[in-house]
Amino acid sequence: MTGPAVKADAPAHIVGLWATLNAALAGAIVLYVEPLFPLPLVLHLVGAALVTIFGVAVLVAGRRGGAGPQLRLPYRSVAALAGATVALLLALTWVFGLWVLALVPYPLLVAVVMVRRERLPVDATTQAGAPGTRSPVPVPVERPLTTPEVCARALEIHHAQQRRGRGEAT
Amino acid sequence: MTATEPDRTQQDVPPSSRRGTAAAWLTTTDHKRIALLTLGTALVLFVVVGLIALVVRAQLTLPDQHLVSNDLYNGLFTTHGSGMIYLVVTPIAIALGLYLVPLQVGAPAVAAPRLAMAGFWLYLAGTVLIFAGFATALGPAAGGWYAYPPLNSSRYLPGAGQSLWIAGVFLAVLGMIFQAGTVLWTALLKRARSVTLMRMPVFTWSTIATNLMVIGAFPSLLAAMALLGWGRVFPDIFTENLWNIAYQHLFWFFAHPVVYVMFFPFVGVVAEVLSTFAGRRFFGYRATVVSLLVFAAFSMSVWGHHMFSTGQASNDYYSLTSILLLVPAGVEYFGFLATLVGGHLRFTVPMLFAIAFVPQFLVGGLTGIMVATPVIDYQVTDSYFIVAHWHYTLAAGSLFGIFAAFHFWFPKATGLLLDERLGRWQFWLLVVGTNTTFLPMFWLGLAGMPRRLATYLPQDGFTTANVISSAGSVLIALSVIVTIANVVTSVRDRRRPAGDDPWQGLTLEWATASPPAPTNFDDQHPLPRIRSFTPLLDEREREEGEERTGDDPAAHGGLRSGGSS
Amino acid sequence: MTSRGYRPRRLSVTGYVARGAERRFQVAGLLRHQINKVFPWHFSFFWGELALYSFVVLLGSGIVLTLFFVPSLDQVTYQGSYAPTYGLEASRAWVSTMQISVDVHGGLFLRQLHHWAALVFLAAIMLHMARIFFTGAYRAPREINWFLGVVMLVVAIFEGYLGYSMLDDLLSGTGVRIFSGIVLSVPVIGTWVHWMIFQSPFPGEIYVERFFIAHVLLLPGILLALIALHLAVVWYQKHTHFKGPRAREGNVVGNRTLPVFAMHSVAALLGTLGVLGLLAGTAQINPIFHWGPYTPAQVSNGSQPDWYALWLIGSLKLFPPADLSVGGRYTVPGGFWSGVLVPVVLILLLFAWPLIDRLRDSDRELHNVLDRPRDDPGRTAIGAMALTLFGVLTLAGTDDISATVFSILLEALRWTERAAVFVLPPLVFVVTRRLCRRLQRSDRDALAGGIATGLVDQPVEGAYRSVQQPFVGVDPEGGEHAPEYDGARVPKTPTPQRPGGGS
Repeated sequence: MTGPAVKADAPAHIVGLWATLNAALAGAIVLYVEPLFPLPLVLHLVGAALVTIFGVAVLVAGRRGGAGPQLRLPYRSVAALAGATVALLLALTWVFGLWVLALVPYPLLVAVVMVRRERLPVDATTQAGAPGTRSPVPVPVERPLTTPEVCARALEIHHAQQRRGRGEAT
Repeated sequence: MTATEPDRTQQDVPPSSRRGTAAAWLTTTDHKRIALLTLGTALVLFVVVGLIALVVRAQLTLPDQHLVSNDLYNGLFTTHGSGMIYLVVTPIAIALGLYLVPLQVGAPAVAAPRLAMAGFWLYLAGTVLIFAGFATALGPAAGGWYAYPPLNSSRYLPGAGQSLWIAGVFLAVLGMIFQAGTVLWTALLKRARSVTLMRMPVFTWSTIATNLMVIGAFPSLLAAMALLGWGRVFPDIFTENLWNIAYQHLFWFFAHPVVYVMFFPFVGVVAEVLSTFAGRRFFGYRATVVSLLVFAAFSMSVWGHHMFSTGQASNDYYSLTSILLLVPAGVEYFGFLATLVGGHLRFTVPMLFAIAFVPQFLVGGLTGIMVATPVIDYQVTDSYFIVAHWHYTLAAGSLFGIFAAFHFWFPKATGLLLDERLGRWQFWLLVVGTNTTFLPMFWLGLAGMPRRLATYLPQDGFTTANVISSAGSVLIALSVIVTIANVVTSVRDRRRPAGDDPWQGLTLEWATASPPAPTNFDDQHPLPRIRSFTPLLDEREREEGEERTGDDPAAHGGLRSGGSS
Repeated sequence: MTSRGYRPRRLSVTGYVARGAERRFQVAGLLRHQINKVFPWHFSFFWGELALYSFVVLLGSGIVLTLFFVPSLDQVTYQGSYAPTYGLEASRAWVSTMQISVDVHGGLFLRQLHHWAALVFLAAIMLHMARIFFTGAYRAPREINWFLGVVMLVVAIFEGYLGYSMLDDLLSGTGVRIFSGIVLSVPVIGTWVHWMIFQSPFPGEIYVERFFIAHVLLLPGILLALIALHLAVVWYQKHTHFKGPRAREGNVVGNRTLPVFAMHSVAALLGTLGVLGLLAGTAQINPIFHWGPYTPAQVSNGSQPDWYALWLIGSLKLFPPADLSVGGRYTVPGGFWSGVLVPVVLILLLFAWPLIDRLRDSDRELHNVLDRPRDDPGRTAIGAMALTLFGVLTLAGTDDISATVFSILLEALRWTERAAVFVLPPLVFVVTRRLCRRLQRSDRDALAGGIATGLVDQPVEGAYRSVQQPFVGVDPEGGEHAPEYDGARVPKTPTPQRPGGGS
């Protein structure tokens, strides 16, 4: 193993060693407990497994270049509020009954609508000189704006038609 | 959009651009704000749950008092215990890491801010659910913070309050897992380039150990609450002892590491405070890092010592692992003392709290070793001895760590200094108060007073100790009032602006503004050179060295510990 | 061109009809003007339409229902198909409603459609009214529409109440008893008004017929006339619109009547009909077969009126039982204050709001551009305060059910609501006003400083900077200047740059 590779993986190795130590301690339980009731062993191993999974995730992320300061962030966290609201709602449904779900989804719908993209897409520029916004929402234009000249001409024609309808000279 | 308009396009975020609005706080992705929201909520809850404790102490002062009904009394101590553990000290411990770790590792942000923010919202939702029990007809949860079945099944404790408590605890702990996972990921992967693992401060290492325990052990509580919840719907499962003991295993697998989650960050805090106000690096950095990790690993395997009296947990294994905890704890204590001895000590308020932490937690820790011995535990479990033991570790220990952290980092977070004189009043009132409150409880426990007792008889002989204890609790209350007054006057009058580095700190958070910029280190406060876990001390020593000899030791390989890896 | 006289070429059907109408009525100029009217679009403008379309559904379903309902309090024995109530003594009104529910094909669907449409109708009216209030659309020149609207709201509440009360079932009969009590409590004229309605002490034998004619002819007629007037005013004065690109006081930006606006309207009508139909077909409402016929000796636990009348019940519940004794001979019951006086005062305040607003705001200009709620913090705060009061009273109206379901002590809940009536509205006022001011400031700060994109830049080693997306003000000619707030919505989320350069 080369130096830089070891260094890059070091965070994952720390987690891995810690999980291994836990697993060893878990294994020691076997010496003291009848196998009839292995729940302590299972619990301890599950705990170590959870940490191992976390460690593997750290390893994978580290190797994929995920190390270094976090430079892309969401700019707001409505999704967090929406997610926690859903969790609270589910908890209340469990406590009080399914009818809760019938009464309260409307603010959730609003929240879902509000949680639009919270992070710029991957290809958004990061250099200095980020794009300026010229108008908040692009306005579709079906035909050119009516200029004052066109308005005047149309008015002229309309008046002429009115006069013809009344029988006057146009 | 073109290169000719640079001045209008890229600039630092103006201080007031949307940042002060309520919406900005509630949809923030700034780890400092998320942490402050959590810490603020937890401190308010500390006062509320402390008031509940005062009611309990008021009833226990004299024999045969019935200030509240027995059911409400049960609800009060349940809420006090669960509130302090789930809603106050654990969130403070984790949120302290959320605030400090990115600063201490030179990062602009935390790894998954929305996950951390979801953690805060879940914690808040859990708080609301737990306290909503007080509004229900049958009252709040009343089965103790352990919530052992079969008492806590719907057969013996019916009522929405108990179900709300279960749901609330589930959500709050889920939130804590999210926040801890975020901080751990940041500390492991999202550091600045020059901050290697062995250049992280002691506090950051303590949060790594803490959050590893959270990842490993907190999901077990989710399982325990799920089991309890299942039992609310199908109460017959708890007629079999198998499930009752299974619950205890699931619960204590979480609940022992949680007390270390409530301890380790404050070990880190005390280490930082001691080294700052002794003016030297923490003694035995590498040994402390290793001992923190080993301590955390061992603490995952000791949970059965809470179950000695059931006879269903192996006495040998758990007492062995519990006593082995002495070794890493001893290493850390040695580090504390060695940092102090020979240092140039400045006795500021945070230093006082940190120094008091050391012996007080020792009392708690040693009595912990005592009750880790099954024979002693059979005598004193479920008595006031054990109440005194954990209050020494949590109230005389972690709480002092909390206040040390509060006084130490308040200037950083707000840009204002707290009043030293009021701080000293707070300290001495708290020291006298906690010791007066909790020391007599050891003797109460040996005299046979059980815990969770609503009242007792005059002939029991518990009266004197209880009176002393209640007197102490009044002092604790006064200390909290003094703290609140300190904060209010410091913020309202804004008399003393703190600079970037009011304490002459050693670690990176003192290199940036107070309060820090949104991206932590901006153009006016870039990261200094980082070659060890105390970069600011290195800077100062190098400057002094340069002044004296015109020489820069780091340029030709200095005598720094922890300079590699 | 061929010379075939005055029928030179083939037209489409529309063209043929249009030409015939033009020959006979000469409406082309008029129609063209109306067709070229422009209607702006915003999601909140839908609520007024929703009210209109649910009213259309009410009319349609109501007409069919009148074919089967018998408004009579003559007592008969129920001998229809619903077995649990077979043999009960009941009025012909109730029996005919049971027949509609059980025996008439599609009758239950029709009843439920009518009732759901009524609930949605009132909800849409209140949402619409809230939109008008919070955007300042009631200001000159549109005050008359506000007055018309409040009258329609009151008429609609009565209409709904009369509709479900004329069925003579146990639940609504309880409501009629309350109504009778409230009417009796009015000093001096109370007993006479009561006799005008009931012709006898409660319940009498005639009130169903009177409710029926009011519900089927009188009030719908008034509503139709008022709706027509309301819409005519909107049509003539033109719909208000929000400030936006090219939208100003002197113009309207949107779609013309034909084809887009008409299509949207028809689609909305059909959509409303569809959703109401789904509701009617799947969700039970007003199951009078569960409640049985009305007898004055019985009351069901948890009796509630329809949701739009809950505030009245809440007012009745929360007011203390303060009977006033006048000269030792007469008593004004406590129900008068809470059942008559408070509602009348609230409705009068609502009605007179454009006039009250003149005390607060000295602006007498005509306004065709809507305010964003944040741009008038005082008005928004007052509106929030009023909604809070309405909300507390509504929740109080249903608190016996809440106490049961959430197992809260009723006494404690009642006293909390009483305190909330006084504490919450001022609190909401203060908080809302502060919120609006903060939002205003955040708009201006965003224009000045740009929007955070979440991207972090490293200009030098060890420093981090947040990348901002700035705003640019654009002149009509295309020139740029520093952006200023002009009432249009300021986006707070960044727009990604399209590949290949800026927009």
